[in-house]
Parts: sequence; C-alpha cells; structure tokens
Amino acid sequence: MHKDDLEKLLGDTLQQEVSEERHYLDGLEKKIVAELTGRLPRKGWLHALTRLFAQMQSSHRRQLAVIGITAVIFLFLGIFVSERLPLFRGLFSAYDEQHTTTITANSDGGQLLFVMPAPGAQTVAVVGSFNNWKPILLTDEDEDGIWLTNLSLTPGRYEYAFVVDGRWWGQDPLADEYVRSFGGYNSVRYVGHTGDNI
Amino acid sequence: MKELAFLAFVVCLLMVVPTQNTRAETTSIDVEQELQSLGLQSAAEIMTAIETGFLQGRLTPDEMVSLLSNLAAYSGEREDKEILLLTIARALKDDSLPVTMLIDKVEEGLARKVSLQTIRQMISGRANLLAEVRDLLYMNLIFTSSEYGQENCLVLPLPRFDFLVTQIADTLANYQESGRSPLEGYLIYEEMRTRLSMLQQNAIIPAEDVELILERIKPESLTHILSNVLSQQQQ
Amino acid sequence: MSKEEESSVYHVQDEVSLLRASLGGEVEAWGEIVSRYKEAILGLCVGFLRNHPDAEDISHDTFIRAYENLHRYHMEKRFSTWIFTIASNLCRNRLRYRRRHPIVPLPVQMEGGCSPAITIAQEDRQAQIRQGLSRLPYRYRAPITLRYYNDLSYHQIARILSLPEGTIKTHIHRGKARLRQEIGKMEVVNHA
Repeated sequence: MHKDDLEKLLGDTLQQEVSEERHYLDGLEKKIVAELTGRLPRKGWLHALTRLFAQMQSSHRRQLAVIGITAVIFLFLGIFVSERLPLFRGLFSAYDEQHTTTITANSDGGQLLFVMPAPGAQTVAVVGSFNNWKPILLTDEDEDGIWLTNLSLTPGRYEYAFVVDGRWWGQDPLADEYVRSFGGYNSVRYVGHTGDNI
Repeated sequence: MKELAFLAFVVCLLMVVPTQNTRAETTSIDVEQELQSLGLQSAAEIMTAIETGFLQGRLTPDEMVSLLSNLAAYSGEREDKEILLLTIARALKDDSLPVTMLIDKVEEGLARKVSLQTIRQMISGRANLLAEVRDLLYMNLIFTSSEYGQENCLVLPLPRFDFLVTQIADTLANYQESGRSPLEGYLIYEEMRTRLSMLQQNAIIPAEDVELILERIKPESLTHILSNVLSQQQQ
Repeated sequence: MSKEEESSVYHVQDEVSLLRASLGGEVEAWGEIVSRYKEAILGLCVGFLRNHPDAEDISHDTFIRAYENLHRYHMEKRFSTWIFTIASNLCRNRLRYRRRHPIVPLPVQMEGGCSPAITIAQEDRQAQIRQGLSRLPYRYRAPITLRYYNDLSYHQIARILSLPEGTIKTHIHRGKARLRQEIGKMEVVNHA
C-alpha cells in the first residue's frame, strides 16, 4: 500500500502513543492470566452452568446441551404464549395484512383536491413536491372566491404550499400536518392506496 | 402503380408526423446537455454521479433535467450552483445516499427564491443527516445487501431502505429546523413514530418496517445524530 | 515443568494451537495470545477512545471478555477480526457511557518516554495529529485507526465495524480531509 505523508504520520503517531503505554503493556499478559486463574467461581447455578458449558470440549455434548436448553426455553415460551393465544393470533393476522400491502409509487394512488379561499385574487397556484415545486394553477370558474384544482397523485407524502398573487401560503386547513421550511411553512398531505383523499 | 406507391408513402408519412409531436422520453443525453449549458468545471464528476444514480434507480432523467434547467434559469453565482450540484453528486456517488430529498429541497428553495447559499447550507445539513441515519440503520443490522454476513441482520431492497432513510432523515431535519432541542430524544422519537405511522396508515410503507425501526432505533441514538450534525455545522 | 518453561512452550506455538489450548483450560496459552495482541488492541482502543485510562480499561476487558466467550469463536474465521470486533464494541459502549459521564480530557502532551529518534519537528506534527484525531468524530476515527495503525484491509474494517466497504472508504477519506483541515488551522494559529 502506497502511504502518503499523512497516512504514515497517523500510523507513527498512534504507534508512539502506544509505546508511551509501556508501563501498562509490560506484564499485561501475566495480569490477565492471574485474574482468570484466580477467579473464584460465582455462587449460583447459572454461573456453574455457564462454566460447565464453556468447558465442554466435546462438540457433540455441547450440541446436545444447546438443544436441551433451547427446548426448555421454548417449552416455557409456548406455555406463556398459549395462555395469550387470542391476542397473539390477532397480532399475526394484522402482520399478514400489512405484509401483503404493496409499497409506494407505481401503484394506485388518489385524487387530491386543493382548495384555497382567495376572493379577489388574480392567480392562485399550488406548488409542491409532487411536481418539482412548479406552479399548478387553480381555477375559480364560478367566481365565488374559492379556487380549486384536483390532482391525480401516486401514493406518497407530499409537501406543498399555495401561491396567491405571488405570495406563499403554507398552512392549508385541509393538510394532515405542517412543517417549517426555509423560514416559512409547508403543508403536508398523504396519498394512500385507499383511493380518493379530500 | 407508381401513383399508389406514392400515395402509400404520403399516408405513412402523415401517420408518422403526429407521433413525433408527442413528448419524447427524457434521456441522459438531455441531462448532459442541460449540465453542459451551466458551464461548470466539475461537470464530468457531476455527470458520473448522475449516471450512477440512474443505474441504481435513485434518479430519473426527468427530475435531473428539471433541476438543472431551473438552476440554469436562476440568477446566482455559477460557483454556488456548482457547489449545490457537487453536494448532491458526492452524497450520491461517494456516500451512496438517496438524494431525492436533497433535490426536492433545492427545487423548493429555487421556487421560494431563496439565496443559493441558504439552499446550500440546508442540503449540506440534510446530506449529513442522511449519512448519519443510514449508518444508524447499519449499526442496527438493517442492510441493503446480504454481503456483510452478520447474524441477526435484516436485508431490505434498496428502494425500501432508501425510503426509510429519507423519511427518518427528513423528520430529524424538520425537527432541527423547527429550532427544538436536540437533547429531547423522546420528542424526536415521537416525531419519527408519528411520521412512520402516517406512512403506514396510508399503506405507503408496511407495518413490519415501522415495527423494525421503532424497535431497533432508540431515542438516544436520534439525540446523538442531531448533536453530531449540529456540531458539524458549527465547525 | 516450571511456569517459565511452560510459557516458553507457548511462545513457539501457532495461534490455532494456542486457542485450542485456551479452550481446554490452559490459561497460560491465553497469556501468549494476550502477549501477541496487546499492542494491537491497546492501539485500537487509544485510537477509538482518545483517552488513555479508558483505553487501558477496555484493552483489559477485551482480553477477559474474549476468553470468556472463546467457545463462541469459530476457528475457521480470522481470530484478529473477532477480537478486534470485541474491542470495537466495548469501545463504542464506553464512548456512550462517557457521553453521559464525561471526564475532563488529559492535556495533549508528549510524555517522558519520547524516543530520542524523534525530532522536534516530528513531535510537533505528532501533537497536531493527536489533537486532530481527538477532534474527529468517532465514525472517521475508528476506521482510520484500524487502517493506519492496525493495518487492516477495507474488507476487514467493514466486518469489524459492521459497515459497508464503500462507507468505510468514504469515512477514511473524509476523516483524512478533516485532519488536513485541522492541521492547517493549527499551523495558522501557531504562526499567528
């Protein structure tokens, strides 16, 4: 490996730091060995069991021990779970339902209705993450001051705002939530797989 | 006979012409042309990264053409535009991160007529968050590939993994940008839970993904991420 | 056979034999493993933790923990990767603990054991590197230590830190860039 100056310096620096720990390193192995040798067995069946298991040299015996312990654990777990079987069944079926749900785009989405009361406005547009924040004009065909548009969107989470005569309005009452962005607000709506969202 | 042949030829021509009026599909050539029009020094590096994004399915030519043409039309220093694009390119190529969130924020910033420096700061912070969140998922043994051979690891397809990373990072970014304390781990966790629940309720992500994240990601990890990103921004 | 003679027997044994002997209850064989790995493990801990008392603690804990869990180690896998992973995980736990229980860091200084072969200029550079390393985020510091101190491949580092190779390379690259920046700043300050 070709080492540039910084790489060499890094290695040398760490090496130097380690060599300053000579007092610690000398005799470390003796200390570790002494500690491991001198360790008194902890009182209690769990520790004895652990030590017995660790000392098993025969892999066959170890395998049998693992199988046995696992079987006991699952036996207790099964008894515990079976007492709560109705709830467990319920959780599983919910998991199955969700598991079969398809995710995100390329799937059926929904129509999203955008409504902005703006009497007297010249232009009202909606901008959002659904079309790279390019304005989509709303219309007020009956001239009642309520501007509307309907967009077909694939499932997802969308941030948006209204632009009324050039001024941004980020808090749509129909929004699911609001977030701060660039010092202003964006509205957020979710389009799911369930069809129309109003 | 010759007249019939000529007539057939004209009819075929007339049939072909209307189809050419329909919008041709955007390709990477269109992207490259838009990029060249910006006249950037790092155009080659940026284009390589974009092509990587196309191959991985993380970018589409349409969104890149939109971004580049909006940037070209925006008044601002060429250097600032270059840094914006390099931030996205490096996040994509060097860090292997999903970058749709960054592109979306640039587009929003341009639409809001915010300064390029402000946009740059924002996406730089968000790129850091994406990296931190992605690493957090890795540390909790949630991967996109089975090559790491760890026991108890879970492998998600890339689009699903990317979506989770993006949504979590976006939640953290919104939390941070709202000015709240990074030390309130439980508040941040609740924000994340709310986001994921909304996505799940609308069947945008499966419940198992929500359960996975809520089970493995702890509030203190989220505090740690926000504190990290904050200290990086202050350096 | 005396203890010294026993120890010298282990000096010449290969790693697999030592591990088998350790599993068989020959603690002295484990002592030889400690002797062979102590510098590598301590260097890893120093690089990760940037705190010498903690590094000593964790090195010690690594050898104890590794011995206690030796029955879980698969002989066909590389032992160094396994023990470095234990050290790395213990370091990460200690860092989490330290965030909740911070201690005043020791001033960065070259201690008395400085080799006379190191010039003053090298000392200065090393001091800058030490400071720079301490300021690096853990995610850059860890792979940098494993790469330039422990001399591991990207693949091994990826396995130890449970991260993809691409991320490892990026973090090393960014860490080095940040270090260069830090050293540059320090030089400006020194020359001011």
